[in-house]
Amino acid sequence: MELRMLWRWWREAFVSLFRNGWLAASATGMVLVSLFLLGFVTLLALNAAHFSRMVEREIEVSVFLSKEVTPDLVRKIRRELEGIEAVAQVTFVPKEKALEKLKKNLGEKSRLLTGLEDDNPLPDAFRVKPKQASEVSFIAEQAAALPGVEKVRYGEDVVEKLLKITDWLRIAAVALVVLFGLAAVFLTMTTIRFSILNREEEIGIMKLLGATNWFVRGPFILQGIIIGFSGAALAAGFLYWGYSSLVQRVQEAAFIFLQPVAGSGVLLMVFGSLLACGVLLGALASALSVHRFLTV
Amino acid sequence: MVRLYNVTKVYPNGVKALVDVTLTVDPGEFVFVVGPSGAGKTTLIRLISREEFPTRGQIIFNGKNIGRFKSREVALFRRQVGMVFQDYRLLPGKTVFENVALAMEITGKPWREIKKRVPEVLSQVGLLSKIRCFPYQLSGGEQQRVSLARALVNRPSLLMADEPTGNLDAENARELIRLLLEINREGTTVLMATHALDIVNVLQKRVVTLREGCLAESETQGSYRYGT
Repeated sequence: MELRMLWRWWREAFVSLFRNGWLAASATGMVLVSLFLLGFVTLLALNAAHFSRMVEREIEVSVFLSKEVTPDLVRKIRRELEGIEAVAQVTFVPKEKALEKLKKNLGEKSRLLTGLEDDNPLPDAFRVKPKQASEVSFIAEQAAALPGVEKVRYGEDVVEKLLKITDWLRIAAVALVVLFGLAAVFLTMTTIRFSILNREEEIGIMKLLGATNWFVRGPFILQGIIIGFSGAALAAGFLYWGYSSLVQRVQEAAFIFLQPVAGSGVLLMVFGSLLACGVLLGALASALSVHRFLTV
Repeated sequence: MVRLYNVTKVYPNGVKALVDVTLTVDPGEFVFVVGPSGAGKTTLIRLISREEFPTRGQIIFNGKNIGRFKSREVALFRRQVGMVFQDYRLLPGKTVFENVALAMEITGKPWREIKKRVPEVLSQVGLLSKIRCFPYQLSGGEQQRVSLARALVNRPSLLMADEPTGNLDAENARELIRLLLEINREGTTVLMATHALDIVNVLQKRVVTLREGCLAESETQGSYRYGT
């Protein structure tokens, strides 16, 4: 009996989709468009977050030591720095290395620096990476208070501005995803609801013939699932095609810093969520729409 | 079969559709419910099919109070009651076969049985040749006979018809009544609300007259004397 009902649901759902072909096609189209936009915005948001992370990874605190520090004190400062909760990594940069780097940066003009090897004016330093970019100012404060530390630098002005921008990017991305998510829910629900609107009388007749609620509900919910799934699958297909060709082009152009998110795990999750959204929204919209007509 | 005890129905807008109606319909009876428009005929049928609830009073079907039924029991109860309406109420998107088959699918009958029974009942109402048609391809009389076939396909113990001849010409009306009588002879109780006094007066069946919601008369071999 139950199996027979399931079979009937499928048959009924497909026959009805087929006979109302245009309605089903336009509903699928609506789901496709709204989920495509949602997926597009989600990819945008993921890239914004990724970009922010990449930028923030570059942020670090330079701790310059005074000239008189003994190797013992250097070791002690290192321990102190590593003891700060917010610190991820501490690297020692001896003054010789700093000079080398400076020479390299100056290139042609590095001749200006010849002879300085014996009386290096640069201080020894630590490069400190924070766990969270927003913690740099706290780390800088802590480091400045240590004995033997001469000066602390972390590009205060730039970092503050940068953090503001990345924060804003993240919030805007989340807001966009939420907005488009709501729009997708609303559009999908309305379209599917609309496609059931003219079935009210039919549902009433079935109830008068002694149909149980599930007998009536089943085919509608299946139709919703089929419409939602096809719309979502098409949206995911178009997105995948568009996005992967975009990624390829960017990678060929090789802006090292601006690499888009391309991990297959992440993309799979985005497309999987789109499919789940389509199926769930379709089922829910149908169930809700039919529910109003079932109280005969 | 059906008993109404002091049934009163007052609609939310204050209209008293039925007032203190007590009525018994025995198994195998053929009962006409007559009366002018607005006398409460349709309300009576809608109460028995449990589309509406009485404001006061009880309706008993085969010893059970239908007001106490839960959703699933209502469904099971309605499968034992065939319904025919003035406006046919066929599903427009389904063929004649599918419309009649639906009533059997609802009861969970196996497909084999449905495929055998539906043509049977369609030939009983003379519409076997239209089995693949959609309702819009049929005349009013034919649509009403499809609706009758749908009501009969599960061999109901009670058949209720609300103005079934209201949209039919004289010839189609006569054919429908002939079918109802035939069904009644085979043992199905028939309760028919109607305006058609010529039919009622010729048949000499039991007549229940409603007037302004009250039970005015109930005669075993009655006629329709509304207005006199």
